[in-house]
Amino acid sequence: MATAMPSIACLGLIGRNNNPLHISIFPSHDPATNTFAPIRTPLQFSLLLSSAIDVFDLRAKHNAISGVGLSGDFGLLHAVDDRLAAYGFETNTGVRMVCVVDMRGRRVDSSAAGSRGVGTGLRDAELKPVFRAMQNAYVHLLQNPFYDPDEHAPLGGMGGKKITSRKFAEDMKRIGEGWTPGVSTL
Amino acid sequence: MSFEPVMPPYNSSDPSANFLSSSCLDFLLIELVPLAYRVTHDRDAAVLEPTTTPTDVASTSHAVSSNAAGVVSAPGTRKVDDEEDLDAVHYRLEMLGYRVGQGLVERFSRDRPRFNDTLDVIKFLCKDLWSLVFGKNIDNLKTNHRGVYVLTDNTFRPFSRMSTEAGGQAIVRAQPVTSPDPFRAYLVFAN
Repeated sequence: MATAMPSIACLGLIGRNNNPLHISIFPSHDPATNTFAPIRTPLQFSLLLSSAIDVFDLRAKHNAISGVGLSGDFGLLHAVDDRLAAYGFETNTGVRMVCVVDMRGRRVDSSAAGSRGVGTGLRDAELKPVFRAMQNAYVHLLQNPFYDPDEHAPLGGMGGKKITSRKFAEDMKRIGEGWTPGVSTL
Repeated sequence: MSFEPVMPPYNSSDPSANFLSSSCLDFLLIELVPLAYRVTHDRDAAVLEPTTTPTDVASTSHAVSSNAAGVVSAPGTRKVDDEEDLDAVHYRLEMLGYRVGQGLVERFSRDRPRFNDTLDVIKFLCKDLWSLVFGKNIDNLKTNHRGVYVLTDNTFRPFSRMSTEAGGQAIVRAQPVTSPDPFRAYLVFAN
């Protein structure tokens, strides 16, 4: 019998001006047809990321008042339904990363599932390698002298271009496809 | 620009760390100002004379580049307002530094606690970034508690190879450096 494991459904990078910098969507396994397809449309994922911005703002305010939130990791932002959950991270420069996890996105054979129970949920720490790898990819992008961050988040506070770097997109693809719960480096 | 052996976590075992000869960096810093003059001027000339044939542009740029010290009055180019010209050069240099700073901050604020207010940002600048980039902490930090911070470095590394006229009163003539950030950071370099 085949069971399912969590996988990444979408990786989003949001700029300082609440502008989308990058969105990568990954297919999930559909047990009914045994095929791989994204479980939401690109527009729906885009809306999911937009709604995550509100949670970021709310948490940031809450953290500033209570004096906690010493790291950029926001943990679980919101659970969309029984399958999708959004996790967030914010860098010190105001770039936000959102990882939408599909709790049943990856197929595993029952033998391979082994000790790990299915449907036990995720701990925030299990997403840490994802955000660390995403941040590394972003730092590498900034080391490219032809990438101008101000084009992507102008100081005026409005708009900004998307990231067009092929290398960055490949990094996101590698992260999204490579992650499973328990992976420590990506 | 740190000349001392680097501390972990930024040592040679860090796969994302790159190293470079400090002499190269000195040469680059020396060349940066004349380069900014040349580039600004070549671009101005290109904008002003779009119909110029390529050979003319080449000869103009050659004339300008031979004049590397920076006072640019190459024959054939329009006489540009000196002050405006200087501003354009300053802007170009400032933007180069700003871009380098953006990359450095993104890289080195990675494993730091979050910045909750401006003071946290300034502290990061004085303690962490300054010692990473210039090999020492900042000597003095003053603030009027209204968003103006004055950072003083008495032995600024990049200036150590520069000569100044004796009794030139460099400290008096030191210009405040404004950053394009929302809060203003005044950096005073005294050597």
